[in-house]
Amino acid sequence: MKIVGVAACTVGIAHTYIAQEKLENAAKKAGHEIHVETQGTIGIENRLSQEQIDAADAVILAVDVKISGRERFEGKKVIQVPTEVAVKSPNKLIQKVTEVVEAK
Amino acid sequence: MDANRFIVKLDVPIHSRAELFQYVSDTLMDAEQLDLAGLMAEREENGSVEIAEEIVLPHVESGVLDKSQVFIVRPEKKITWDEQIKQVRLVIMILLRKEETDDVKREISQFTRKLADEAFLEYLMETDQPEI
Repeated sequence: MKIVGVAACTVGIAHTYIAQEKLENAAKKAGHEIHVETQGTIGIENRLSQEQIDAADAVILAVDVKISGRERFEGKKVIQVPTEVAVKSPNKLIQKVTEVVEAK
Repeated sequence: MDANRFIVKLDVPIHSRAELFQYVSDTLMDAEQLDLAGLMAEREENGSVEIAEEIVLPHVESGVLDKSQVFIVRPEKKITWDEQIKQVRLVIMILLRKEETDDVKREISQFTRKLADEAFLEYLMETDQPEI
């Protein structure tokens, strides 16, 4: 499965980057391909390309704040959670995303 | 890298969250005393600061801070953080100066990425000679 995601938290220095790492590790461990953009205090890093978004089976938004460019994901299967979920239960989240995609 | 960016203190004789904030403000910070609990309150309203079992990551960005620092404090004994988080063995506190440079933000974000690694958290909880 191909997944893209965005991580963004309130201050943009902590949960954003932990969530990114956790999502990437959990998805890879489950055998998925994943790209996670961060919208933190430094700005946008690891920006998702249109090709990556088009090819994705699912979009994970691990966000506590309004993100920029949300319209890029219109028409995609979007799963939105607080960053806390990605930080504390990344494996369960990836499992849930898998179930959502397969139930389509 | 600023040698005072990351400050680690082990086996600190504090017994509560209030004492932790007091200790960091009075003992570790160069600046005059700050109401850290007040600064942190807003962020904590927006979600739990617990990032793993027995580890909390309170953090704030504020214009009242003179410099950006990360304090890693391991209390002598577990402390209670709040109603939900009863047992805390490790506190990682990030104080980010408002309008900090991207270089410093990057330095801190590289550190926070490492907090996703359970082995690194375990190291911080167990080591006697931490190197960040």
